[in-house]
Amino acid sequence: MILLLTGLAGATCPDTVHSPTQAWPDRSAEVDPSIVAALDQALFQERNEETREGIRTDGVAIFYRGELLYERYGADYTAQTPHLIWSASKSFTATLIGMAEYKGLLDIEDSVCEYVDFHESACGVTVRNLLEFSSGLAWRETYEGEPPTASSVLAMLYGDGRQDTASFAGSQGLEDVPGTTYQYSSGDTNMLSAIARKVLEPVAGERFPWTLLFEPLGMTSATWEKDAAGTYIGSSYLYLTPRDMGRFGQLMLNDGCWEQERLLPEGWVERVSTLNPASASGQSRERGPSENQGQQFWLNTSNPGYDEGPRFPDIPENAFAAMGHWKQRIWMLPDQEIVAVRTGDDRDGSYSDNDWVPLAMALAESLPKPPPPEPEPVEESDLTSPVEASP
Amino acid sequence: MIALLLALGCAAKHDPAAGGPPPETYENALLDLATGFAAKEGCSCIFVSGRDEDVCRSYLRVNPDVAKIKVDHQAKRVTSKALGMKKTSAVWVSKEEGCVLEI
Repeated sequence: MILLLTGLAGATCPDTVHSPTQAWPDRSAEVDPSIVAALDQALFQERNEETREGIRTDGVAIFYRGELLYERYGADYTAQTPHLIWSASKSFTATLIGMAEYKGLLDIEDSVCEYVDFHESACGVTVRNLLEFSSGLAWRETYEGEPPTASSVLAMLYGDGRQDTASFAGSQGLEDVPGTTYQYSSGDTNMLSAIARKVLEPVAGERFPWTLLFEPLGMTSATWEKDAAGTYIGSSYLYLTPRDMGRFGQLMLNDGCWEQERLLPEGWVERVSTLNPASASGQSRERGPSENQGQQFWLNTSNPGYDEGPRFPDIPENAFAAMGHWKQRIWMLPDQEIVAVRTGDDRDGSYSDNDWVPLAMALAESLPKPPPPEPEPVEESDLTSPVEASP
Repeated sequence: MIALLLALGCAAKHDPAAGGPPPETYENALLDLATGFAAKEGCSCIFVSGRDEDVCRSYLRVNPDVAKIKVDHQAKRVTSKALGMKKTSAVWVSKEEGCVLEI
């Protein structure tokens, strides 16, 4: 029976997954130089630190079938500099929740109060509602350009909420019935982080993001800051190099498998990269109609709630991404087997993913094709007469 | 400006049981947010990402640009002050945990 179960578990991971734990194989010398030049031009511009206008890329790394095709850094960044990924951290927090599900420690249909002692007004919220930004909890996710003291997220990170981000988020009171209304909220994600900690710390220790995720994938650059209550700031404060961000993207392309080991439930990647009902409903507070969310991942898909086409017309419709403030990106292109990472410090609206992610696809297509398989060598004995071949 | 900041410090307390939209203004004053941002992000820029102090000062510039930082490289602590009224600090803890706001 044990043998049978082991066999089944092993069978869920294909043996073709790419797992660059030690180092990314480098094929950047084999791609078309004209596409490299186009990427350089699209992403790296002269920087003016006074005006801070234009595209301000800090790093780019493009991977295809587990190999590096393009890598370049801007400003003072190098391949070794951990970059703040801001809200791209949210996709990592959701991944830890997925790992807890896979271990049987958590059911996303449960009330959040099953796991953490949140304010009683939050107990009608499920873990799924948090994953789908439909908790209904009162929240205003605003940054620069809006009144700072009206921002829920700034209050959580730097004001009243900073000591205990998750309980701050859970004490906002309901504005809508849970599950009905989409509202992007860093508060929802920090409640997820507190839940992940509650269920994973006992089995994996205080360093659970390392023991469960970073170390198995060979991600050695990670820093993940906590609040004073000891909860990882799951919404905002993970630091990684682009190569390590690429490892996370590769785990998604591998459907949660790494080196023949399954780390996430089968089908989980599809679930988190499918438009969630609140995001598709057209019922959205505050942030307008272009927010396509699965479960803490951004989608390029068209959204029936708004009758829109794909958000980025030249990027495949089933592509999905982790995205952060000032244009941090981890793009996953499942059909093209591409992970495209970008870090930056963009302060205006110049940057668009549509300007360079299609070039990553062209880059992969420009690789020299492997030679067609050689015909079976004809046996020598077939060409010689039986008499000569005899000893 | 100062009167506005003091007024913002006196916003009504939000009652979670009552429900409804978020408060028009949170209780924290603008200077808490400004110095909290500068201290925490300054600490992380210098001690997590390992960037030069001057580069980080430029990175931290936001509008209104009221918070200034002082860096203690020995203690790995960044202290931010604004308008001589508010002081907030963040300290580097470890490679894995980075920086955290103090007080």
